[in-house]
Amino acid sequence: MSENKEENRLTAARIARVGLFSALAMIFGYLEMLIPVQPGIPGIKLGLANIIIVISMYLFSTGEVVFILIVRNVLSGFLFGNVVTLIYCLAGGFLSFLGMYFAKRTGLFSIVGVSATGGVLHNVGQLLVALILINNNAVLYYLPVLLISGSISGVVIGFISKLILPRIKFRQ
Amino acid sequence: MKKEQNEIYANNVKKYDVLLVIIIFVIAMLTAVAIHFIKDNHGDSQKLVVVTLNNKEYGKYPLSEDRVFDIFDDNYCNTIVIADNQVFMKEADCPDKYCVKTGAIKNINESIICLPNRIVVEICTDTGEDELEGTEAADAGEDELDANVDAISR
Repeated sequence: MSENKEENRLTAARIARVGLFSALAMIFGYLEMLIPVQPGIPGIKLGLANIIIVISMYLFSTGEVVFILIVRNVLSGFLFGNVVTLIYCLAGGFLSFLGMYFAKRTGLFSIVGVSATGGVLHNVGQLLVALILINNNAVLYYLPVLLISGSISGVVIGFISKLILPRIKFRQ
Repeated sequence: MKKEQNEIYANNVKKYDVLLVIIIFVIAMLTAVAIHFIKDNHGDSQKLVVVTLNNKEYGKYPLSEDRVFDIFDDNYCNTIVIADNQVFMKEADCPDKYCVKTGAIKNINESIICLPNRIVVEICTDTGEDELEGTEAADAGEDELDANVDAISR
């Protein structure tokens, strides 16, 4: 792990990249809100911003991905939503990040599998928050739908990320 | 070095990816079946139509029994119809007719409100059966969820 030392150094280039990706994640999240056609069931969506998170998983260190995640969620939470929005997004985001982190570490999955894990866990995280906030088991009725929609959107995001990732070249 | 690794990760879909998605689908199916099973045990019979007039409870009626009834006073008359596990306001002499336009409701926590005549028609679970909330109130969370739709869709 000779790279480790290099990765821990805080260079202007790295700060810029992380900032760029945080901004991209926010913009993608905003773009998604502009899509006029939305399915009727809450929680079913493509999650364009997750493209950025998935790609970041493969480009940045763990700490940097967490930073991008927090910046994206907190900023878009305060810009476009409220505290409740923020809680939902953070819970979904972090659970999906943890899932993707471990899925990636096992080495069994390609980026598509990692992204699918993230997509499913994103929905599971939000459902857990809904379970706590709404305090009604009835929310669980959404679980099957959200599992399937999460895995489908995760796979789609995974394939998109697969196309984008090799095209990103950072100059040192 | 790192870039090559990235491309290896990104290039081929592995069989475990397929397996993962299949497993997720199976889990989803299983939970769907389990939920359906729990739901069937109780059915819609526990849903109650609660009619409130002037902030006072006017009456409770099971949603599963069809009936038509009028609520009338000197000033107004509303006709409420319960049919096919749905409730709707058939007629009303209020000026705005919002209650009629609301259409039929069938899920728990949904309501028809007639402001001018001060009538509220709600669908609730049977009272005093708290343990039913989880299994019974299939759509109880829907309203609250709707409120959180914005949250989730971000």
